[in-house]
Amino acid sequence: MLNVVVATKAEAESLITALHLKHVSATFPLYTKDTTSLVITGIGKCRAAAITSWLAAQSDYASASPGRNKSVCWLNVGIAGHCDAHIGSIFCAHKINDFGSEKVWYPPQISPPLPSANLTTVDKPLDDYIPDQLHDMEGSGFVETARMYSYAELVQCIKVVSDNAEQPFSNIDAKLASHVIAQNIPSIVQFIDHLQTLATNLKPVDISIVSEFLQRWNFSVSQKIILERLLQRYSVLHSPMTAIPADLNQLKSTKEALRWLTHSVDSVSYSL
Amino acid sequence: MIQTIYIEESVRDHPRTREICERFPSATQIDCEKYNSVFNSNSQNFRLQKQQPSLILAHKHKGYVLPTPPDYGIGGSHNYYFSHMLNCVYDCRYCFLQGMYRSANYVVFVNYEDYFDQIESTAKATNGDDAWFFSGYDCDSLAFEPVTGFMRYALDRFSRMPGANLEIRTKSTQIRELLTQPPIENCVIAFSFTPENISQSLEHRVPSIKKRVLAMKKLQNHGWKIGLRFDPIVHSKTLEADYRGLFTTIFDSIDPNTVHSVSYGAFRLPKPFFKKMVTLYPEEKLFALPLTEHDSQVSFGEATEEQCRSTVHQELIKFIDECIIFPCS
Repeated sequence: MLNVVVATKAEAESLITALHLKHVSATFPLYTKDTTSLVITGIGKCRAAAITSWLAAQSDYASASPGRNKSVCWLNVGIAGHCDAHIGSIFCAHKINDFGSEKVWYPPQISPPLPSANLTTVDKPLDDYIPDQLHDMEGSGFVETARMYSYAELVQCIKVVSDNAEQPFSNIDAKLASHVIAQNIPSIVQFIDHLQTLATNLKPVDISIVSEFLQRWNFSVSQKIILERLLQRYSVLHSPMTAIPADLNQLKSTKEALRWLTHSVDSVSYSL
Repeated sequence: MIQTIYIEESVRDHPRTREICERFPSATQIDCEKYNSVFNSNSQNFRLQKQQPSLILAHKHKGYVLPTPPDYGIGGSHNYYFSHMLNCVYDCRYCFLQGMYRSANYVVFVNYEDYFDQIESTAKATNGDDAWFFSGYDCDSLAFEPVTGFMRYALDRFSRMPGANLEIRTKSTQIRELLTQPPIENCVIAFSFTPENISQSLEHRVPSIKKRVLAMKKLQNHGWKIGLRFDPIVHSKTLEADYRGLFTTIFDSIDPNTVHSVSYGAFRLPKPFFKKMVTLYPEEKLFALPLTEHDSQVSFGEATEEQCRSTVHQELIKFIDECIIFPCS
């Protein structure tokens, strides 16, 4: 599952095409295909934070386990300024500093297929570039919020340089923003593949049968937690349960059902 | 290979920081104010980071030497441990570090001198009693030695501290440094083992038993004191045969008469660590087996643990004098 957060339509255009996304009717500009979503937030860290949260809520409604699927990849893609990097050069952020609050985040670097750099998020464009820093207006708002919904390793920012000391931000227009992102689409897609491959390490154990249990018996909240762990263990020690076994199905109470499952996983022999 | 190095501001100009960074010329260096802001930040996933851990170079400010838990030792009256490094290059599925730390990145504290100043004063305070200092509690003592050079420094300091004993606990075969110098009397190189089938299933990235035994043999021939550690014992239905096979492999190569000490302990984990490890590796069979909770510890249960300890003990005394065997609980 991938959620992409982009500030402007110009920055998003080539990504929408590359990822074959279609516009869907929603509160904010949203483009989706299968398990990939892209939202356009508008400029600034507050909008980035708020709409990242909104997108998380949309994904959560669609999830089988609301609030518990933390293996979602989150990517902020956008343009940034840099003192001396070439226009069109691409980086992932390895340290994100919020210029206003001085809060700092370190997106974990797990073999990123891109060069990395420091990123400072500012509230308004600076007259002077801070040396060795990318400058944007969304990164800190995005990363702080997206980390509430996923693992830090899966929350990353990619920035493409749109302005530098020689070609300052006053030169930026929609055409330039669109162009520098478009010329880096292969690198961005490669980064997305890398992130999604990383997330496959977190593939959950198949306990999809749990919904049948919840229909068949009335489990309390704490019993549901016990049930899920027992089904997980059952899946690992035997194989994923595809249907409720007949002798279990005839049991009347939740306690009896849990006892049956407990016995089935506790009676295995010790062998790895 | 390390691809990313976080460097705490306070050690940016430390000579060891420079030395270590020079070993990884293509690594990206990232400054951080305090190592905690990287190592302890929220929402990290240990399993994902274990794919490609970064290195964090930092300064340790206090707590260089700490008392070991009770019943941890090899006969000394005062037992302490110290950790110049947090996290291990290996990936043993039973290891408590996965449950203890939020991050799988390696932290190396570069102010080695402070450790040994405190070790020296701690040893002096025992007034000549037998004091043991255990390395390898929060990391493998030797596996990262080519990068850190910590043990080279430790051996130099311990060679001048006859009242203090050092245990270097490891699963590594990085023994080159130890073979270039004469052994020191107050140091034991202790190798950890589980039987072949357990090692294959659970000890990822760890050198094979054969290679570890060979390393041990070389050290023994060179005159170093050797220790054997069988902790954790992971229960299996073939436990007796597994350990008999392991001991045969070991004692076919090394001389049991000159082994310094042997210790063993059953598999157990603090409950909060276990819960986190299940979340990280829900598909791990070890965690799905029938385990019990007692006194906030998760284990195979008292009776099974006793059976494990007894089996290993009985197999051990076929090779080793009982007086150098130390059970850990």
